[in-house]
Amino acid sequence: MNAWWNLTKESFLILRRDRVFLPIIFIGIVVAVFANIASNWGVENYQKILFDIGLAGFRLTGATVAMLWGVRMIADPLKDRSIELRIASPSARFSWLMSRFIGLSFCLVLMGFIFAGVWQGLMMLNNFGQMTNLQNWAIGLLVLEWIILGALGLLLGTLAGFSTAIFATVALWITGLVAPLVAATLGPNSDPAQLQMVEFVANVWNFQRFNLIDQLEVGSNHVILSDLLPRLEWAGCVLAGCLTLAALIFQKKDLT
Amino acid sequence: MTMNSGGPMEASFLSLRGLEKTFRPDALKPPIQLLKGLDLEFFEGSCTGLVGHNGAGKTTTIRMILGLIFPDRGQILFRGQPMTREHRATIGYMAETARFPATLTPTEILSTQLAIYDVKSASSRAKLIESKLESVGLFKDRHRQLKNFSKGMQQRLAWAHATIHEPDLLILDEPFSGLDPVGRITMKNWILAEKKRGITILLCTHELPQIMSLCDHIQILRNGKLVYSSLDKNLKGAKLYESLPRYFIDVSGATVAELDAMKVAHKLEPWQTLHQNGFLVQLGFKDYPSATMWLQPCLAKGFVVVRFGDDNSATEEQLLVHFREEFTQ
Repeated sequence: MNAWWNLTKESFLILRRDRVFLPIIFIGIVVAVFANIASNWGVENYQKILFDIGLAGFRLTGATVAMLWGVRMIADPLKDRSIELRIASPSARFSWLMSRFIGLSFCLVLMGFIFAGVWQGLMMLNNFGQMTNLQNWAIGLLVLEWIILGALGLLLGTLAGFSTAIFATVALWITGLVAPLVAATLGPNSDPAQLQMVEFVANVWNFQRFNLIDQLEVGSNHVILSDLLPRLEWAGCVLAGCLTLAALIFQKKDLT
Repeated sequence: MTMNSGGPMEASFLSLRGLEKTFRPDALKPPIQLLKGLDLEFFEGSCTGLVGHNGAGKTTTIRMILGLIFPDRGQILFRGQPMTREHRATIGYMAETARFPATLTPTEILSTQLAIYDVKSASSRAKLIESKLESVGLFKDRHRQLKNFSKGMQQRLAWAHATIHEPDLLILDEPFSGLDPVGRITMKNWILAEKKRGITILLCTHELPQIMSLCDHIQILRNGKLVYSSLDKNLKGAKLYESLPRYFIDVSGATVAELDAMKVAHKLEPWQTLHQNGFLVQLGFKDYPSATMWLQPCLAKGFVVVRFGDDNSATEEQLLVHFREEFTQ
């Protein structure tokens, strides 16, 4: 347990001190400021613009860095060979891999807290008061999405080099964002096989499950547990699947 | 160099039996066989030098011992038992190419290392780290991030990292790489100190003089095979390195016959090696006085002394010649 904790702490510190961390926080703040300015331009859709730009900006920024860090959690130690110094020890490969993931998750959660703080500031600035429960959940789900993307990056990082892994992670994320939208546009006149295929992908691989912005925009403040539960279940399944696969692959990988 | 026959007095600490490994770097490229049934023995309390050209299989062998690469065939025995992850708790490893994450500090790196090696109490960990960093001269830099460290400082930290848990087996991959002369002497002294502690050392380096002065045994790899082992065949003479020429005089304008005549006339010490390259004749001597007594007669005779002094690379050259002769016997 001692080793796990120390390896996790090490991974967290590496990311916390990474050259990307502070610029990402800065970008988050810039996005919030821009959302505020843009919403003041709009006359009617003031709240929609604020939520659209603000939360979507946070989502995009966090997702990008989560994918980058996820892949780099494996690619960097392989490149600088620091992996040799940690794996050539009594610590199990599984422990090392999970510690990398947990360290990454801690860092993404920290980023989520900072963004939530910025969002709270934005709400106060616009006289919306304290963040509602649904807003808390919206940011919570965004952080969960980042963690899943981090795990996906980690999995692909164990399979391929940095460039291939980052490209594949981004492609899979975009597929998960677009598939449900494409499925919604297909009408009854579409080819049944095609429709079935797109619906299948949209059901199995749907990253829009982490998007509560639409609900926030219509002014809803109520958290409906039966609505959130399937999202959390899906997230749990994807996370478990990614980490199990990553652990199995990494266990047998030659670290050349 | 102290030779040891590896006889019944020594217990085998680590045995590598019939290791084979084939890599396919690319799906379109043919596979490369890196190790071809490699057998190696490392004895308890001995220092063994692993030598070989680039691509001979040294690093692959080390990585297999450390569990970073899995063999296709063969096995690794640790004190007679198949090696497991738990056995690696007794190993210290200093890698040539590995770099620590640049944003961490020496204290953080060593703290994680001790936690992995199950040094439980935080206070004992802190004390160990402080004394280790003190001993390698990094105490005042203990809270500085490594991105500001020089290559020499990184090597000193790598040494601290490899030895802080007092391993029974120390694997050193090119420990002298990138060090200045002072750093090399310091590193050599550290290795000697660990050797005195009675631990088993596996030293992998291209620097033959270091191997010859530190190691009890030598094993030479070539193309994934063991081609020479001082355990199987004692080198001629127990102090091979000491017997090799270290001081050289490069003389221009002299023939071998003239030098021979001069040797007899002035009762000079005979040279150990002689190489002729065009007008240049290089004479090799094992000690300084033997070499210096040739200077005055050479100058008096009007020969031009192009160079005089010790030359490690020339000594290594002689050593390689010796090894080549051994292989072909």
